[in-house]
Parts: sequence; C-alpha cells; structure tokens
Amino acid sequence: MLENKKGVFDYILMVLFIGMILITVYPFLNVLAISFNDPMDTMRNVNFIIPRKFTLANYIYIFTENNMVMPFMLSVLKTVVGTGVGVIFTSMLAYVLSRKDFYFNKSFTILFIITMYVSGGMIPEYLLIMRNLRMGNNFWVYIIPGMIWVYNVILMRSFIEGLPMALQEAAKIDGANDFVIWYKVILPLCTPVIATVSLFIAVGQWNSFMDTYLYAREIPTLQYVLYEIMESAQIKVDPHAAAQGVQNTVSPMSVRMAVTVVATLPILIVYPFLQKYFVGGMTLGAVKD
Amino acid sequence: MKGKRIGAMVLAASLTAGILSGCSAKEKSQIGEDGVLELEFYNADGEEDPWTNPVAQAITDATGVRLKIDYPVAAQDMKVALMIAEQNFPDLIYAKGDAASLIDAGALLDMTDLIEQYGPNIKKMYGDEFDKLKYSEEDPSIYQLSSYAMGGTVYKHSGTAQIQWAVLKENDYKVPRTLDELETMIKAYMKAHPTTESGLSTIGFTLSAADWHWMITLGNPAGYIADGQPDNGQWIIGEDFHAMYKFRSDAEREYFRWLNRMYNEGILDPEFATQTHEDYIAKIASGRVVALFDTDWDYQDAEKVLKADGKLDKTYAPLPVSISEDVKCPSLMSQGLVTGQGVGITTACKYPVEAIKFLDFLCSDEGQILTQWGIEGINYFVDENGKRYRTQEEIDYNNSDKDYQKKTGVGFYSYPFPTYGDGVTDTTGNTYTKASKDAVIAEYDAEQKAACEAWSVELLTDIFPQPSEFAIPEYPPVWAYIKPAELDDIGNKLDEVAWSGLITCVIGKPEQFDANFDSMIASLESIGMSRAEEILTELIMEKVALVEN
Amino acid sequence: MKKPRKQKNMKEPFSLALMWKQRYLLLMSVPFVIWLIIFKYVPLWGWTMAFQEVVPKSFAKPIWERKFVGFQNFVDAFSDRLFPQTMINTIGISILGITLGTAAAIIFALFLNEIRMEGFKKITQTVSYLPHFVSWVIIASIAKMLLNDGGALETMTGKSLHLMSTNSPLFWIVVCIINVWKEVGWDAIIYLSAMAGIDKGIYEAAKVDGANRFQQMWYLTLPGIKPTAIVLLIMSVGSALNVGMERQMLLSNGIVQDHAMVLSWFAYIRGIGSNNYGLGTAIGMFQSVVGIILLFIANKIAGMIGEDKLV
Repeated sequence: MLENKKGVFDYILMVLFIGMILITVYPFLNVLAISFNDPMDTMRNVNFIIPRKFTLANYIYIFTENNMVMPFMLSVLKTVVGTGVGVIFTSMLAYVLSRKDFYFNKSFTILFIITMYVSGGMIPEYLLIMRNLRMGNNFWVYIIPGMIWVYNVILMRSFIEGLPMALQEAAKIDGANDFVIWYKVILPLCTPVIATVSLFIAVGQWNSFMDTYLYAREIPTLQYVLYEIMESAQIKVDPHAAAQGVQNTVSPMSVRMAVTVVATLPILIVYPFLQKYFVGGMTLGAVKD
Repeated sequence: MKGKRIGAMVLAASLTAGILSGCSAKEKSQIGEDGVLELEFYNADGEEDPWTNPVAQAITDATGVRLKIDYPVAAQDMKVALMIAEQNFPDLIYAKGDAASLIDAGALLDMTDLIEQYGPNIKKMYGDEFDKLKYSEEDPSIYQLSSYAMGGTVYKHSGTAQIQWAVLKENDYKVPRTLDELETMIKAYMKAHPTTESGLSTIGFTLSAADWHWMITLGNPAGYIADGQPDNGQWIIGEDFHAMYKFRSDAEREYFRWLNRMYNEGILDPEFATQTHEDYIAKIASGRVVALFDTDWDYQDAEKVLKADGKLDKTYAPLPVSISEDVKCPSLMSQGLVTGQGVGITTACKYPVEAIKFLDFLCSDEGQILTQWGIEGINYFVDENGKRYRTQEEIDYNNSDKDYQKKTGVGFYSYPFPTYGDGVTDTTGNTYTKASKDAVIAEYDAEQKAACEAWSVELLTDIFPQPSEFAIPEYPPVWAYIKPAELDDIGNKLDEVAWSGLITCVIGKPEQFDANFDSMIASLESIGMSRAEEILTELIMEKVALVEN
Repeated sequence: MKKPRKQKNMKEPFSLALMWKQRYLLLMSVPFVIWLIIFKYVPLWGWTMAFQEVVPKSFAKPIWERKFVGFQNFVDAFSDRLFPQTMINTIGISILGITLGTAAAIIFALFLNEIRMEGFKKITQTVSYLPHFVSWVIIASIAKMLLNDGGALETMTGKSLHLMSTNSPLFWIVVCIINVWKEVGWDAIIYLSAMAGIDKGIYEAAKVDGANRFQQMWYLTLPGIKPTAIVLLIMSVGSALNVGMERQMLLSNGIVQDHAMVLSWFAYIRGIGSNNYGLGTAIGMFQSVVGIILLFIANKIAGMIGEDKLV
C-alpha cells in the first residue's frame, strides 16, 4: 500500500523532525538528568541533559518513607474506571448529540457547551460534594463529578458526524434501535477518536490530585502522595520555620524532577499500546456512499 | 466483543471500588478507649505527623491529649476558606496569615478567661507583653497565642549586606560600615580578581528580583541600610507611630540611586531583574558573586555548595553596613513579641478546658524543655553542675538526619506553639532552647573563627550595634498583623507598583533616575498610599494603647 | 472535494409520538443532563458572590445575609489601574496563541502523517508530546536559560536581543512560542486521530488520478481534518479570556510584568490574594460571559461562511 521508495521530501521531513525531536525532548531529558543528579551539584547549574554526578538519592527519598502500593493501586483503579466510564458515556452522549433529528439536539448541546466556560467556583462545588451529596472519602467522588468532559464529547461528536451515514441508515432499516446503532455501528468506527479521548481522560485522571486533596484525603492517590512529598521537600520560605529545620539533604527541585518522572512513567509505558490507533489510517471499505 | 470486555472490566473495578469506599463519618475530638482525648489541630505550616514520636508520647502522658494533625498541601491553598464555608473547624488551629477570616467568622474562641483560670504558665511566659496578645481595642479578646519566640536574644545574624570572607581577608578584616566603603571594597576586589579561579568573571553583587524574592533582596535591604529601620514589612514606623510606605522615604531614594549607579557601572549584575532564583543561587554557588544583599535562609543552599566545594572563603560575612555613619544598622534590634499569628482554640472545640491546659503545659518549664530538648537520658543529659547538654552523638544525629526532628520529636513542636527565645533561662539557670552562646561559637567554621580572632570578639554579631542600644518598640512588628481588608488591598497594589517601579529606576539612565522615581511615587500616591498609611497609623496607635492600658 | 453529508433540517415538531420514537436517544442523554445540572449548574449559585460584598468578615454568613452591592465589584474591577492593560494582554496573547498553536499543531500533524518509516514516525510522535508532561516550572527555567539577557541564544547570535527584558508585546510572542514548543506534539494528537479517521480509499483513488503528495495533503488530508479544526477553533475562541496564569507568572519578571498580567492572574491577586471573593467572582463571571458571547459569535461566523457549526 505504501510507496517504498523515498523521495527528497522524505529526507527533508526526516531532517525537520530530527531537529524537532531535539528541541522538544530537551526539557524532558533535563528533568530526567536532574532527577538522577546529586541535588547539591544541581544547584551549580540546572541546565544539563546528562547527570554530572549520578545518584539515586532523589528516588530513594521518594520511595523509602512512603507506602506507595495502595495509592498506586488506587490511582490505577481510578484511571481505569474513570476512563472506562468516561469513554462509554462520552461516546453515548456524543452519538446522541450528533443526531440532528433528535428533538433536544440543539438545546442539550448548548446546555453542555456552556458549562465549558462557566464554573461556580471551588467553594460551591466543595459544599455540594461534601455537604449535600456526602461523597467525601468515597471512591466514586473520583469518578462521578468529572465523568464527562464536554470538550471530549464535542471532539467525538464531530468525528461521528464525519462518518458516512450509510451504515447507520442500513442498520435502521434492519430494525436496530438507536442504542444498538451506537453500540454496534458507531463505537467500532470510532476507534481513533476513542483512543484520543481515552488518552485525555486517562491522563487527566492519572495526573489529578486536587480531587484527593479536596474530597478524599483518607483514600489518597499516587499523585497526591507524590505531591505531598514534593511539598514537604520544599524548604519553608518562612525564616522562622526554616530556622527550625536541620540540614536538608534533598533539594525541592531534585525531588520535583524525580516526582515528575515517577508520575509520567506509567503514561509513557501505556502510550505505545494506544499509538497504533493514531498512526496510519483505516479503510472504511464496506461503506459506499 | 470488545464492549463486553470493557463492561466486565468496569464491573470488576466498581466492585473493588465498593470495598474501598466503605467510610464512616467519624466523631471528632473524642476520648478514646485509653482515656486519651484526641484533638484535631490544623497547622498551616505543618507536615504529616502520626503523633507517635517519643516527645509526642510524653506530651500525651503529661496532658492526656493527643493531636490529630491536619496541614495544607497546595501552595494556593484555600483550606481556611473552605473550613469557613463548610463551618467545619478543627479544635486547635494555627492559621498563620488567615486568622482574620476566622475571627470575622466567629470561629476562634476568646481565651482570656480560660487563661485566667487554667493558664498560669501561659501568663508567666508572656509576662509584661501579655497584653500584646489582645486582638484590638474594640475587641480585647485573646484569640491566638504567638507562634514566635518570647523574649531572648540573637546569637546569629541572618544578614542584610554581606561580603565574601576572601574580600575581608584582603582588607585585613577591616569592616565596611557605609555603602561607600563597601563599594570601594567590592571594586578593588573586582579589579584585583576579574575572574574566579575557574575562569568565571567576577560579579560585584546580584539580586533575585524576577519574582516575590524582590522583597527580600531588593526591598528589605533598603529599609535596613537606608532608613536604619527594623522589619515592619513594607512600612517604616516613625517616632510618633506614623506609618510610611517605605519606598517613598528620601533615604531609600538615595539607596536606589546608589543601586542605579552600581547597575550602570556594571557592579550590579545586569541580569538581576530577569534571572530565575535558581540561576541566582547557581551564581552564588559558583563563588563569583563578591557581595550580597540577602538573608541567610534565602541563599543558604548556595553556601552549602560552596562549603562542599571547599570554597569556605567564598561564603559570606554579615556586615553592619548602612547608608551613612549617622544611620545605625538595626539588624540585631529586638522588636518584642510578634503577635497576629499563633495557635488558637476554635469555637467548635468541645473540650476548651482540656485544650487550654494542653497549651499551658507546652508553656510550662516541663513542656518547654520537653519540646526543645527532648527526653532526659535519651536526647539530653544533665551534668553534675545541673547543666543540660547533648552528646556529640546526638548532635551529629541531629545534623545528619533530615528527619531527626520528626522521628525524635525534639524541636518538632516548638513551632507554631509558644516558646521562649534563645538565651532565656529557667529556674535552674539553663536556657530553654538548645541554642546558647557557647553552642553557636562551637559551630563556627574556620573562616568565622578567624574573623572572631581578627576582630577580637566572641560572637560575629558583636561587630553590630547591640540590642541594648535600641529600645523595644511599644507595638509588635507590623508584618504579622491581622490587617483590615482595605489596608491589605492597597498594600498589595503598592507592592505591585513598587516592584516594577524600583526595577525601572535601577536599570534606567542615571540622569533619568529622579524622574523615574518621582513617577513611581506619583503612581503609588494615585492608588491610595496616603490612605493606607492612615489606616496603619491608626492600627499601630491602637496596638500601643492596648499595652498602655 | 464535496461533502458527502447533507445538513438538511430533519427536525420534527414536538409530540409524544416523537418522544417515544426517540426514547433511546432520550435514555442515552437525559441522565447526563441531570448530572450536568447537579454538578455544573447548581454550583453556579456561587455567582451571587459577584454582586455581594464578600470579604472575610461576611464570608461565613449565608448568602441572603451578605450585603448586596449591585455591580460595585464589576465597577471596581473595570476601574482598576491594571485592568485596561490586562485586557489588552489577555486578548493579544490569546489571538497569538490560538493562531500559532493551531497552525503549528496542524502542520506538525500533517508532516508527521507523511513520514513513511513507521518506526521513526512512532518515535517522533512519542517524543513530541513529552514536554506536555513537564511542568511549567521546569519549562520556564529552561526557556529563561535560553532567552534571558546573556542567555544561550544571545551568546550564539552575538546580539543583544532583550527577549525577556523588553517591556513590550514582544513578550506575548515569546510566551506563545514557548507554549508551542511545549504543547505542539500533544495538540497534534487530535489532528492525527482525525487523519486516522479519513477513509483511505480516497487516497488510493487520488493516486490513480495522479495526485502527488502535496496535492493529497492539500486536497484530501486538510479538508478531512477541517471539521475538527473548526470545532476546536470555535471552542478556543470561547476561552479566549482564559489565559492560564501559571505560565505567565513563571515566565515574567519585574521588567515585563506590565505585559504579562492576564485576567486569571488579575482575578487571583485581586480576589484570593486580597481576600476579596466578591471581586474575584465578578472577574470570573465576566470571563465566562464574554467567553460564551465570543463562542456564539464564532459559531455564527462559522455557519455564515459555510463551515460546520458547533451548535
């Protein structure tokens, strides 16, 4: 299918992208290098990509004192459940909103879109969840309040709108109801956008710690634990508090970098499995307009 | 098929989640089966602490109270605001800068009667300055104790102007006392040593002014050096208690004029306003910065590197520099008790008597020695003369393990709870704190020892005007005040203008300096500087009246 | 290429029969609408604070007991010394950011899609989105190392560029370019997935017709991702006033401060920073309302020039 011979254009592209890789990968290599570098040495100059004085101290600092097993499991669970629930609901809603013949199509769409730009603020949300709904320290507080992002719904909706109508109509003639059409016809065709949306939700779920902080400190997630480690490594800028402190062998900067690596690693490991859905196109051979 | 798999996964996950989510509403502040009362304590500067270390245990044994400690995590934390919104308060609270909202919300308990009845040690500790704890003339309640030390003296200088030991040595330890003398010394050194041993060009001095650090390195030194004023935040308080936004003082204009000249002559690092704080630290750590205008806690990381690299002579000597000979360097001046920030009891506390007794114990001699020194026979010993001392082993443990305080509890609870200051002695003649003159001298490094010898003094701080030369102001330092919202608001705006205004003045052409400075003053005036000064003056008068009555 | 899909209005008037006919669609959406109302609309009562005096003193009181001040908070915000410049900065940075960001992401995705070596393509893509996970603290420190006075770029070019020390809109450009550097790979993911959704058959057909690669990119790929691009553009116009403050704070310094201040930062220092929640809420509300108005304008314009609309 693909042409095998490479033209000048391919080489130009390659050079371009190698240049691109070099400049975009720099920050990450920098983080990686600092995380493996002696914190004291790091203070000399923070910009380097190969550890000058190799050490595992920063990682040891993170892992020795804290029990990460439960928070890690909880983070995985939260990410898996949150993504699963999120993708299913997002695609369901996206499908409904793509149906121009649905009576409430426009009003619902507007209702949803507006919420992307308005927010009552942290305090009303906090009171709602903690006081009215009593969801504090309950696992579902991680899932339900943020289960749908309108942004993703719109993204998926515009993908669905780009699909050929023929299949839907064929299914309808076969007597399938709307639920079956969504499930049997739309979902399988949405693989690329499902991959994207899953990635967005999963990254969002994996990275969030404010939800734990506000609503569920008794069942902490990995990110929250990491965040706490980072904050406690921060030398207090208050002179009095600092005066009470003793020799700090870790520097907040180095700990921050190691935390970044630990927090990002799972995403980096999972991503290649998702990648096949982004790369290359697909053939909608069965569909003819 | 795929759908089924996802469905199964979600189901499995939600079952597990169901197990995890089993949570019951817990009654707070209750007496446990062991007869110990658990009080919830929110500490704005706290960290995780299960209350299991030996000192914590000893406190519980003595008081029958255990603390359940809560603390903020995010920097832009709104924990106190959320508490108020939810009307859900802990029993004890150290709100740091957020006390105003708690008091306004009626969440803090007036401790006056409780202290009268159950707090003899609290009264004893605060002595003459007890009245400073009162909130205001209108509402003379005591809502918080002080989180800062009561009484005492200063053995260590935290620094304003400083210069590398190497420079002092080349000048036979002559101490520069004015900016001019400092300038001459820096220039001479730069001329003699245009580069460091490793080939980096020498920098006269640098500042960290790209973010909030500007207040520490650009703002604060101006007050000390030019006005000879102690730390009252961004304010200068005159003899008649009249407050003035400090950057408009004529003396400071001259200080910034000097900075402007230094900038244009290339003595002040041209990157001072744009570099990040990390770059600032890295520069100092390389040993190329001759002089500093900073406070020790702000640049101590750099000194650690210098020491590790064996460049002890590139660490810094604090100097009693002021703008001219008639201005006395106020660094050692005592400002008296700091109030406005401290531990309080909330109205939600069901056991206020137990709570105040707990706080009173911490103020007692027994409590103070316990929190400061630890447990006798383990953390410290008493010699045949009745003198408290720590073994070298313990001191090394303290210095080498960053978690020493947390693990042993020694010194861990001295802040934000009330403490006596360094040098205050108990009935046995021992100091309450571990820091004593001898201990400080014992910790001096080679450069510091050599300097003491050259100056023939015991302490490095002896070259400064001594605390006894200054009268203690009748009002507590302004920076910790619970300020009215209007003052806070104008104050923030003034600082915004001053930050960019001062930088513009410093990096401008010398002939434009006055024009730049005048235009900054005009902007300050236009956003209510006089109004803010009025409010603060009134507030200070009130504080003075509180003590006088 | 013509669009295969017709936009005819198939909507029928309201009737119970129609509701019954669309019962599955209702079942698949009404629960989410209820969820939306509970979690997104109910908390909007918080907006009442914009019309009240909400300083710590009155914070603990219930809404109805706080003092109503009408539009005073809005007046205070709009007449603030910083407000005019803040608006200019926000809009300037937004326009620059949206155009630069979108263009860069599309070009990146387009070219990446043209790489023929699968391995190289995968590596490039994986690497490209890494900076997205690096916090602004770090990105800012690296950027400053490169761009500050006396930094790497000035050393290399031997010129005094004053990129980070000129108090002018130059700072906007610097900020936006740094943002592209950080986010281009991540932002391209959406376009890549849109490209993956284009029917491969049409490329085969085009090849048979003798279209070269540029023609394929121009006539097939670009139109294929256009609906996605338009929808994303409309949505980003709606958030034109929501320029994040963390990036601005970390990249700015005392000199460029005047051109770094944006609305969210302004709301933060005047609201939370000064304990004036009423004012903070008012600014937030202003951002929201303007955002929604802009959104509908953009949506209208898209409709008028015959593109896909958001609503």
